Amino acid sequence: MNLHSVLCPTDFSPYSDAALRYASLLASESGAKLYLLHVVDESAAYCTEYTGMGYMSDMTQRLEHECQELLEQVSPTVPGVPFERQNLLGTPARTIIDFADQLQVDLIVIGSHGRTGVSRMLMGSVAEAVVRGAKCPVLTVKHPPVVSDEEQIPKGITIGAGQPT
Amino acid sequence: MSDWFGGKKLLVPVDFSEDSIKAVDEALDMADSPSHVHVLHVAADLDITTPGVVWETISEDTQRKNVEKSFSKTFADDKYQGVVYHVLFGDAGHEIVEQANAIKADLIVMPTHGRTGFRRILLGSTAERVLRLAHIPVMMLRH
Repeated sequence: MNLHSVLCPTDFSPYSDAALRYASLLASESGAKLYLLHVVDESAAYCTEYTGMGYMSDMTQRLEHECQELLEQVSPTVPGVPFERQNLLGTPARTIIDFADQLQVDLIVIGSHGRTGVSRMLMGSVAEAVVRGAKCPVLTVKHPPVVSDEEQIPKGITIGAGQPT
Repeated sequence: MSDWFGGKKLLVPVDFSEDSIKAVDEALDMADSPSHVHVLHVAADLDITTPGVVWETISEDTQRKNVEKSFSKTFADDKYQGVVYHVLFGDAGHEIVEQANAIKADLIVMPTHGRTGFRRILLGSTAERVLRLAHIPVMMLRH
């Protein structure tokens, strides 16, 4: 398996950060180009912030613009890796698969949970659909089960079932 | 194909299907040395109603020997020299993940389909279970 291009879809979650670290490493070691893809889920425009009468036409554009700004902050974790950012509009899984197809990427590296992955389901819906639908190998990366600094649980709060009350 | 997975331990579950043997070849490409590649076959639990069990002609021991024989036959080529083999019994998906934990593997490499799982389904049942249960990265190969 020779790597010329690696696709790493991101949804700006810690899960996709873990995938990005892996993808950057692989791209750097094999001299491959890294594609950082974010898909703006258009359906979010129907339900984000605006809860009034339904669809707002400029909401999609606003989302796209904001996601573009977020995407600008995402870079390979290994310096010197050639990369390209792409912000697309569409259904996440479908768009990722089609993008991989069009560019004939050699590998997709994806976090096994994204923002939409309910952890009790053990695998995110987007990751699952990508593994099912992609024509190329897919590397799924599970975010290590550690709490990051920003997500520190405040003192005095215990999490867990069966706490005596 | 040098050292993407330098020093990493790779677990490749095989069911002796063509795709799973290809996965072993790909893992050998990725790994530093064949000794970093662990090949696992999970045999189905022997049921009391399995014909051979009733007549006591088959047991876990004989089945293990058969699998080991298949290993040496399938992976006879020199390039497989040094690969580590494992045989387990039970549910394939669970055992693969358990074994990955037990040997502290860094990555599981497997095809999306083995012998079971219909082609028309886009992801085999074992692959799906491994994806869901594994805590380490999983490389799904599509052949």
